[in-house]
Amino acid sequence: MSKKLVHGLFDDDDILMSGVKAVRQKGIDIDEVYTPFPVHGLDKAMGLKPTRIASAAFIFGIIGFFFAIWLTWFMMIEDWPQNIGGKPSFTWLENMPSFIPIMFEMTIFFTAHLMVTTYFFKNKLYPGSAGINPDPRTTDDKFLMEFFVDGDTSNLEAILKDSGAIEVTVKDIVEEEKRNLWFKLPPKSASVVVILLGLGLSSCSSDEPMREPVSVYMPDMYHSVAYEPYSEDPNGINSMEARTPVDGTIKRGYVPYDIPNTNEGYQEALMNLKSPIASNDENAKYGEELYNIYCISCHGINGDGQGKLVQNEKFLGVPSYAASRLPNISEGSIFHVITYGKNMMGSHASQLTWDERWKISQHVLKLRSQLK
Amino acid sequence: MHYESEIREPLVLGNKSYSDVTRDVAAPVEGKANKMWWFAFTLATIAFLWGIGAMAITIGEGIGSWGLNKTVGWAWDITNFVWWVGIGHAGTLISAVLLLFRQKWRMSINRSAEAMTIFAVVQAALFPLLHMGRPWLAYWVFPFPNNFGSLWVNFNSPLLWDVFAISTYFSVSTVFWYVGLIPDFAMIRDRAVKPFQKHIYKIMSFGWSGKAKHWQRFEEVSLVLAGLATPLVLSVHTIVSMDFATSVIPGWHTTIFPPYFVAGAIFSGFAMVQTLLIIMRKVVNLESYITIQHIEMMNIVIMLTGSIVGVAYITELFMAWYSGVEYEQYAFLNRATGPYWWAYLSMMTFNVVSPQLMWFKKLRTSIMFTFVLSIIVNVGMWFERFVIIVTSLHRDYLPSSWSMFSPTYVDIGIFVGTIGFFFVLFLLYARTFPVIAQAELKTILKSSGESQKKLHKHE
Repeated sequence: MSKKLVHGLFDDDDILMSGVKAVRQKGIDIDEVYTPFPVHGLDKAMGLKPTRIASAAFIFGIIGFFFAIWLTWFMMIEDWPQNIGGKPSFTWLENMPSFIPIMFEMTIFFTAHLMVTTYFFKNKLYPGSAGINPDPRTTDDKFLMEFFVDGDTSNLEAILKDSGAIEVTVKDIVEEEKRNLWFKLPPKSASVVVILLGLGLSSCSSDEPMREPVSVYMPDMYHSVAYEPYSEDPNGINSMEARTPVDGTIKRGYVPYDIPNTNEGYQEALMNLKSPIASNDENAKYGEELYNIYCISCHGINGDGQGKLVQNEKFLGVPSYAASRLPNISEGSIFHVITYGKNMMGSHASQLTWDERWKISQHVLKLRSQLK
Repeated sequence: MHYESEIREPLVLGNKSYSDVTRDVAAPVEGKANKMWWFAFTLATIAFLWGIGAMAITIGEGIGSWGLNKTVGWAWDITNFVWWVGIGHAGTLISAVLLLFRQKWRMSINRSAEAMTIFAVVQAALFPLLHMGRPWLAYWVFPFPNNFGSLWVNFNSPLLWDVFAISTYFSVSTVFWYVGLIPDFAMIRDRAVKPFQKHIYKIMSFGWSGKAKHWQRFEEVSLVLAGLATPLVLSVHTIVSMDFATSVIPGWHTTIFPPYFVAGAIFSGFAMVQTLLIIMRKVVNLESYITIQHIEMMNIVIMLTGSIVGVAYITELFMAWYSGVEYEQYAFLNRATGPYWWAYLSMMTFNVVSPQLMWFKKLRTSIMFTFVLSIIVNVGMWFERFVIIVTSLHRDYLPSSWSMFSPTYVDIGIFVGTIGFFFVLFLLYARTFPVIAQAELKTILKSSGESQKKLHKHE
């Protein structure tokens, strides 16, 4: 005996609902119902399990939330801590308030997109998936119950007719039709596409790297009409665009530092330069706070030269302050180095004021005394 | 079956059956475009082409082709960005917030409102992209290591929050929209006669079949997406406002910005929905679905959010006086009485005074009045952003840096171009997409349709 496909077509959602209930009461399982719009309560009447897609969405949201935490932590704290506006850059928790928007957006992003992907996947919806409602009228105003029946169908047909079906059809099941592919290229045009693609890609390669563009498509502001600041200017004093300030000009609040950035200058600072600020707890504490913002990334919290960027091998060769490593430093030479920089270390004079640099020197000496 | 009280006005007028809904929604897609459509499309395309030219000049010559100067470094670009993002907000509000509140009247307008959202966000995104100067390096705003070395983007910056907010908003709105579109594309696919059309809609409908299990998941997914989109839409304009609020410019540095910007966004967005739908309902014969009642409901939202915006303006003025901060006080005095007084006055009249007219039932149920007012509101909201941005910047702390801003033809070209681009997209949408969420609308036909309501009147 062959398997049969029974379709019962309805033209009203209320009649369909009572039909579904009537069929179910007789103990017959409905294989599928196709409707043009969501009929409320149909899933319960058919005995479908509730969907778990919302629970999945919750899990996706948690993944997104923790991904954002990892993202902000890894990029801003772990891999390359940056000094942004002089705020602490070495703890995630203290930076967390400004990461909240990112955490929020990533949670939504992950939940929405992974949930919809799951929805498409579970429903087998994708571009080119062949439309599989057996009757095109079920996206308009008709409702269709579908049964796969082994054996006699007359009983079912009678129930469907009684409950108000406008059409009942019975078909023998033939072998499944071959699925239509929406993207079918004949071999000839496919090979043309491949050849064209290959030709196109080959134009990207060249034996020698191109040193200069042949022609400038968009000149990218290379040809500026106005004089650039600090550029040569034939009409300016000394052929310069910028004007030099009066000799000896200093900006307000700035304390000049006369010792030059030379080896001799360094020796001079080492021997003779003394801190003008009081050595007290208040200054030391302030120095520590500044140190923990401006110096910690390379020099480490203990001054052992094992800051985050050293550990991550972004910079190497940062010395420990310990007497065994740097036997010959003084508060003067520390101030000198913060001001001018040394080797890989850059000048911090633009970020730290004169007295801030002295306070940090004080803290560095304190760290040095604690190191072996 | 549950029936709605007869006191409630029907949401679908006329004696419509399920099949009538199908036919009415599919008609603009299946029919031919009329002359008006071609006229509007040509006009929009010309504006768009002008915009493309202006964008090419910007990229080729640089930002110097705009009217910006050393003092006013942000002007029309960011004004237009905020304006377009704000317009987008109404779409999400209609589809998400009204879904959560189970407001049935959203069903005949949500599709087009969401389309408007997506097209408006596309326009908005163009402005930061162009202001970068080198748009081909735009991917640098994403968390790639800088120059592929290892320095990363700065997550402390509100501008980066904006990147995340706008891209999440754009992609989630698109997905939300498309999930709803799939069953309606399937409807058009099943009706299509021409093979080419059938083929295209077959691809677009992702093989939708309307199985009971799929509908069950569909409803759950729609609900969860609505729940996600609601806080998302509030976060987007909050973060946009933080671009300003976290800086120390007088007139920007205020905590009232996030709620005030969100209210303004909804205000302008609903106005744009009105502008579009009043035309669309007429052109594609959807008067039975987008009724006077829908227009009135949206007018009430415009009135409410317009009042919130008005309160925010007055609060700003009060806080400037009450704070005792000289610079803040000057910033607001300068806004109202300085060289840009005309912009401030337009903002106040268009945004604060004009929506109050909606208290009159006669006016808020008048289609002509609504249409005119919706345009006035959007002009007003553009001026609001212009006032906030340019008048705060043009008076620097140093009087020697004080300056004025005047747009060049490139500034104007890009703005007009985005309006053209927006209408090109919307007009194409109106001809090829089902403009009403017909599957959802069919679920309320029995409870809120006019003929059905009459049927059950005396039960």
